[in-house]
Amino acid sequence: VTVVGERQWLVASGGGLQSRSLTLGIPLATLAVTFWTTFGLLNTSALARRPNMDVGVWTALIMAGAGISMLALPVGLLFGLFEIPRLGLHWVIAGPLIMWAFGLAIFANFGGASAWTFASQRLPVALAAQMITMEPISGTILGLLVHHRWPSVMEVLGMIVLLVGVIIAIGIFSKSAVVAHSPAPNAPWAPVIITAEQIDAEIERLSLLSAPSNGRRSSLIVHPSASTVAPGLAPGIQVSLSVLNPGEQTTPFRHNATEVNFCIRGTGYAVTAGRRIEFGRYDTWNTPSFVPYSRGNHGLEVQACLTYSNASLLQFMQVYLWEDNPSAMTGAGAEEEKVGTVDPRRTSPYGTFQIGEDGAMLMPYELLINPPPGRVKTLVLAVGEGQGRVAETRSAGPGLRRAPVVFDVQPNHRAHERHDAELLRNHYYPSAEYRRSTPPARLCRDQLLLPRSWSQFRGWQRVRMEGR
Amino acid sequence: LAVPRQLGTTEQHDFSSEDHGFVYSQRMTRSMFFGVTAAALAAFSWSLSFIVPFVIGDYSLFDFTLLEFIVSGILGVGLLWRNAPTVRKLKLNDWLAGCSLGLIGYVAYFLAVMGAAVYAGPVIAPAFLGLVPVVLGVAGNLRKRTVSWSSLALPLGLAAV
Repeated sequence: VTVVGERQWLVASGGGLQSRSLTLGIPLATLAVTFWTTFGLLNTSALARRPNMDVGVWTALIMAGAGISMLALPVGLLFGLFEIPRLGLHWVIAGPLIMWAFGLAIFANFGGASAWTFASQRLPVALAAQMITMEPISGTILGLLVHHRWPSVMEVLGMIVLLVGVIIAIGIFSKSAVVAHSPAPNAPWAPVIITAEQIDAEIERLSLLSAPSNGRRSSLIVHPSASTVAPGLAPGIQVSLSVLNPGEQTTPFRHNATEVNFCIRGTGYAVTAGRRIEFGRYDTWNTPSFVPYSRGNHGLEVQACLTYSNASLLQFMQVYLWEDNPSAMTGAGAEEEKVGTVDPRRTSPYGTFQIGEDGAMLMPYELLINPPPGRVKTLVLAVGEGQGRVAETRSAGPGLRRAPVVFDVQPNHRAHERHDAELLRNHYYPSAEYRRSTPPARLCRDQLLLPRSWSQFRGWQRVRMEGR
Repeated sequence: LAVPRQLGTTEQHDFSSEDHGFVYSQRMTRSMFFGVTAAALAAFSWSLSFIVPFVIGDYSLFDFTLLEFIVSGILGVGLLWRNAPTVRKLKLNDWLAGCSLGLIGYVAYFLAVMGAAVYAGPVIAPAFLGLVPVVLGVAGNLRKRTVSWSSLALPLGLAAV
């Protein structure tokens, strides 16, 4: 800047530019402020009217729009605004012009906007708003460098007073913005693809590490949008890749998340609540909440499993509990023992009864905080089981794909189950009519939230998500 | 613009280690640091427009604007091309809004800023532009009152001085 600036400044002053002419300068500066403010207000209201607009596409649209307005070229030529026809565009003379034009277009118009978006996603609203004051500071420093002079005392004082005022004002506005805004729209996570090669590479990396003390060679597969508190692949869903080398075994572990385990390589066994499950490639089984489990590999090749759980949701709610090497390894026996013995302090003499006409029930607090445990059961789905019937349910006509759900029917929760089934039908598995009228992209987002069933791994499949 | 993180950056799923909190807090501050750096870079890149008039020789600001926005227009079209499925769904209304915003917020603003840098000098021009967030806030408050005017008296007074 200094080198180029010095030479060009001489040229510029020789060219008859008035360095100071406030009668023209202040109206121009006011005009610039007006343009920016108008842009800001119009942009906010335009985006508010388009809640589903992709920010990247919107920025590109504005940039393209600015480019399109350059079609007003003949008007400029008519008024003789351009020097290019006179000076030409030879590199010797036009070098700085071309370099700076390209530089600003790429670095300021595109790079600046992207960097600002990047920053505002990582900074608290109040701090992000304050960061814009860096622009006038940087502009003043650059301007003084180009003009080769130091600021006067009055200028420094003026700038400081101004900036203090601006910073306090931004603080007040950004604090109020939180209250004034309506709830933010949902921001669904963008689809990400984890390729088989990436998974294979990670399996290899994990298998080559020295075994950790608890035996669990395991990695989380985390979406870039996930919060650091609750790392997951989809909101509320944790996906981990666990690897065991031949002959290895994990130490027992339990947590209050419910898992679905899916073997993608090798063979082995899992011990959940004392039950031993032998599994092979593509077998699926679940691990109920807070049941001690361990896994072993008695096969000859490296074993790899994908585990889907709601650990991210529990972590997000700050209620995730886990226990390494739980003492009650013999199974759910200890838990069940407690159920049998009746502690009088834990039983309300009044029980649960109806209150009011609408069917509301009053439940004793003792029952609320210590409900009878539901049945915990490990379900195993081996390869080939129900294959024919599943294939039957999946072929539902052109452009229509059905996703069957494996679930556990709790005999003592009939009412709940009906309710859940309804919920699933309405929210996760829209009716066939709805599916037909919906572009495939809408469906895949839901389907990706689910553990993929074994049948999907029997070949390859093309999925379209958001045009990808 | 979202690039999925590589699988290799996932962390060891080791519940027994006690440094979970430490690792996460370190990542938080790192993300803040990147955020502040990116914001500073953006502010710096935008402030370059204040010195453009002094580095382009005998060419006029209009020459510069023409070149700059032809390049950024091509960039914009390229980005739209990449998002073709979304772009196909845009309505005429969206295109008109985008174009007028580009004209006001990029072309017109840019010409005015460079003119101000030439005629108002290196201190007064940026100082005026520094007022933009305040003007935006005041304009928003005029439309839909969210902040009491008395609480703004001190900062607005300071800025006015």
